Order: sequence, then C-alpha cells, then structure tokens
Amino acid sequence: MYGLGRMGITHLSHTQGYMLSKGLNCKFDIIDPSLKTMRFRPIRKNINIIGRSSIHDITDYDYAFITSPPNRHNENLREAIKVSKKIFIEKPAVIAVETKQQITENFPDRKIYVGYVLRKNLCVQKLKDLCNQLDDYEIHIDLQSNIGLNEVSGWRSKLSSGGGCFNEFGSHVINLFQYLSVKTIGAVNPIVMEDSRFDIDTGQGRLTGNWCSDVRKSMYHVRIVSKDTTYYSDLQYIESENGYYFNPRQLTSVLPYYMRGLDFALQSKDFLEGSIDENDFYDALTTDTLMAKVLG
Amino acid sequence: MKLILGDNQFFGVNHSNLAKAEAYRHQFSEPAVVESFIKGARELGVDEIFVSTHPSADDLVSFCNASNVKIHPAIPYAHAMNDLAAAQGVVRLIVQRFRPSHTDLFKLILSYLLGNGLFTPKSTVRRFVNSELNLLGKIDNKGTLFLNNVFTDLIIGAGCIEFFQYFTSVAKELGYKPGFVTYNYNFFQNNKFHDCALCVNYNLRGFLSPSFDEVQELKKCYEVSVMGVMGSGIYDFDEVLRDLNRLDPFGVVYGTSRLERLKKMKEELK
Repeated sequence: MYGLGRMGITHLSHTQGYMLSKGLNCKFDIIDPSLKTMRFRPIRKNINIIGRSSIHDITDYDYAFITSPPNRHNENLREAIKVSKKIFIEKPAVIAVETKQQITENFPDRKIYVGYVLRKNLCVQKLKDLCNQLDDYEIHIDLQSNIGLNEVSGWRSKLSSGGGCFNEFGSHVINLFQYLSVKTIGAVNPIVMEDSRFDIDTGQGRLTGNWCSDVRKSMYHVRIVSKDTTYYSDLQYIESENGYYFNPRQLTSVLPYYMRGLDFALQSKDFLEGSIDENDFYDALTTDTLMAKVLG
Repeated sequence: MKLILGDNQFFGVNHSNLAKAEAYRHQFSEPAVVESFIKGARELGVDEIFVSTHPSADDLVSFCNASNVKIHPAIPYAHAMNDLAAAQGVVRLIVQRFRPSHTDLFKLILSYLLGNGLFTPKSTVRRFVNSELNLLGKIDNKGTLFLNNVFTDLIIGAGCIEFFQYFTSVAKELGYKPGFVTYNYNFFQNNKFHDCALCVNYNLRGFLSPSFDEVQELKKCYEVSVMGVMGSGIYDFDEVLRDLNRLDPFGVVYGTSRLERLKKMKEELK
C-alpha cells in the first residue's frame, strides 16, 4: 500500500474486514515517506512500514493499493506493476502516457482499477442501462460539495496550485459523464473555471460543480435529457417525467463486509474478487486527458 | 418494543432522497420547531431519542432534557470526522481527538520498540468519547452510548478489537449502557461483547440488512434495536409495522418529520 492517509486507512480497513469475513488473514506492507521513522518495528502484528527498496524482495503481492497524493501515482504505479497483478489507484489516475505504454507492452495481464466509485453506484448503473436504450440525449451533471472554499487550506484551495474544486472533484464529474456517454467525447469547454466553482460545456450537456458548503454532504444531480423524457437522479433514486422510478432500496443486497457506503463497499469487493472492467482503467486515463484539456 | 425517535430529520438527512433531506433542513431550521416536535413526541409517549453528535445537536439535547426524554448518543458524527480528515489530514485528527495520556504514550512507545506493535490505549478511547459527548452538552437522562456504524465498521476492519472493549468500559464509567451501530452484524455474532446493545439496519427487502432469523440469533446475545426500517420512506408503512411486530426487537429507531406518522407507529407497535 502506497500511502497511509485517509484513503489508505479506509482501504486497509475494508480489505482486512473483507478478508476476515472470509476467514482469511492478511498482511500489509506500507510505503509512506511521512512514516519513515516507523520502519523499525511492525506497527501492528500484520502491518509493516517499509522502505521503497524493500518492496523488490517480494514480487507476488496479491494486491497493491496506490493511495498516495495524485502526483506520486505514476511513480508508484510503475513500481506496483512489477510486484502485483491487481492494482487499485485512488482517483484521479494521473498516469503518464509512457506508463500506459509500458503496461500495454510488458504487463498486459495486470488488472488495474481507478477509484471512480460512482461507477459502482446502483443508480448510475441503472442510468447507464437507460442511456443504452436512448438514441440521442444530453447529460447534465451538477455536484455541490459540503466543504466550502474557506474551509480548505493550503494548496487544496487554489486551482493554480493543483487544488480548487475542479481538481478536488471535477474528475468524478467528468468520469461519470464519460461512463454515461455513448459518444466519443470531443469538446470540453470551460465556461467558468474558478477556485470555488466550474461550469463546462461538453457539446452533449453541461457539467457543473460548486464548493457551496451549505449542503450536509456532497450532492449529485444528474439529468439525462432525451426527446421523449428526462430522467433525474441524485444517485439515491431515479425518476422520470413519464413515471419511471428506481430505488436501490427495493433490492436485496448482501455484502460480506460493508463500510463507507454501498458504492465504496461494492467497489472494494469487486476489486478484491477480481471483477474489474478493464475499460474502466483506460477511461480513467481519458479522464486525465479531458481534465488537462479543460485546464488548458 | 421501545420506539426511539431518530434524529435524521432534525439535521436534514434522508438517505434515499436528497431533495427531501433539504426539505427537512428547512422545516427544522428554527429551534422552536424542533422544541415543539420533541414536546409533541413526548405527549405521544415517545420518551427516548437517538442523537448523533451533529454540530447543531446541542439545542436538541436541551429540548430533550427539558421534556425528560432519555438520550442515546451516537458518536462520532461521521461526516464531521471525514471532513476534518479531508481538510486537515489524519495526523491532526488523531492528535486532536485521540491523544493518549503520558503514561499510555510511554507504554505505546515501549510496546512498539519491543516489537509488539501499537495498540489502542484506554486513555485514547476516554478522550475520544469525552470530546464527542462534550459536543452534545449536559445530558440528564442517559440511555445507551452508541458508537456509530461508520466508526464501528472501520474499527472492525482495522482489527482494533481492543477499542470495543475499552469503549464498553468507558461508556459504563460515564453512566451509559454501551452499544454499537453496525452493518457488519456477523462480527458481533462471532465476537461477543457482554451487556451491550446493538443497532442494525433492518428492512423487509434485505437491503444491507440481516434476515429475520439472523436478528433472532443476535437477540440471544444483545439488546438489539433496528433502524432504517422504512427505507427512508419507500416501504409500505403497514407492511413494515406487521413485520416489526413479528420481529419483536428491543427497540425501533424511527425518524420522521411528521408527528402523525410517529403517533401511528407508536399505536401500532406492540
């Protein structure tokens, strides 16, 4: 595991919880420069902080998790592909073209998943099915975050320093747009691009985001507009003007281990069980490209 | 079977419909409306409430104290912890909420140096519980102190089982019955914690819910309450009531923005 911050701890906990529910034990080696003083002894009986040089002693890790800051993803992925066949990268991918080429040529059997967790949302999957039945449609996605610009400090608050709301959650919005779109995405033109909000015209609809802080938790509003009807979803349920209604709570859903919401639990379970759609990784790389295009 | 009022509506929470959540937030934006609702619930005979350590929960606690309503605190408020970790980092969060006593810090360092690894000291759990309860202010009528599901389930996965043992001990020292809210009920079936309460998501459809028989098994070891029974309003009210009367849990946590729904629930539950 590369990085034991908020998401590192979450993935460690979920992975171990899942394994324990199956009667399996697991051992973790963590690479985290901020914990280098802890390399001396195990921090728990099955958790070691190791140096980067030690990783090459073991070349058959069952899984690798890249949960470091995004600017370290590429370097960590280049290392992880040599030691593990299943690799999870937290979003955004931020992977160089040369790395993608290296994977395609030398490590084609690697299963890599980027944590665009909304793809596992049951409403999003249902919306995808509905989109597949439509001839032509527009996609409008609006995301309002519960964290205001004034609550975020340092580099995270400024677009110019790699933060701002677009870098913080724009990748989720763009990746979701890609997932729901059946067309090759051409234009992504920014209309507004500020530290606190963004508004992008895609030619197939609008993508907007806002650090508004007056909602309890992040809220997605997705509208699929076709000539016959408009589907609306807040990713908790779907409804349409012509009476369609879907709510995942109408379904039976049993998981071996549950944590941090159904989308996250499903994502982790699928990754651990190897149910990975390889297109998701390449879509995540396209998300990188589209984000770069938006930011000019 | 006890009917315990849930608190989601007071804080603008609906897990199935974010527009409804916003409507709740507007409905209960004035403290006088919350106060009146609590009084109304008390008049219906609903005298227990589940309260998360939401940033604006102190008013709710005051109104409950004034009406002699028993309070079951649920700590921590997951969104606040997550936002703090996102905004300030995990290290600062740990230093703020989980700093151990000097003696325990020494023991931790010693344990690490001896190769026994780190553990959760009791002083850490005590500091965490106290700092969370302080957010609610003074509680007159103490019920069960619940560890909320996000935290319970994170700790199960992290394998820090000692946290649960210390939590039960600290809760009892503070005059509460210890309890855990969890989606991973199998863990508590396999690891017994005596004299504790459990609160699990339960619904007719089996959506992230134990089955009827699994709840019966859990009841043999724990005081089991159920939550999420209405699926944020999408299940048939009468069907849910019939099922709950058959299930017969210790308690039902039910949040609603309408007193007439609460009245019906109170009248129909056996």
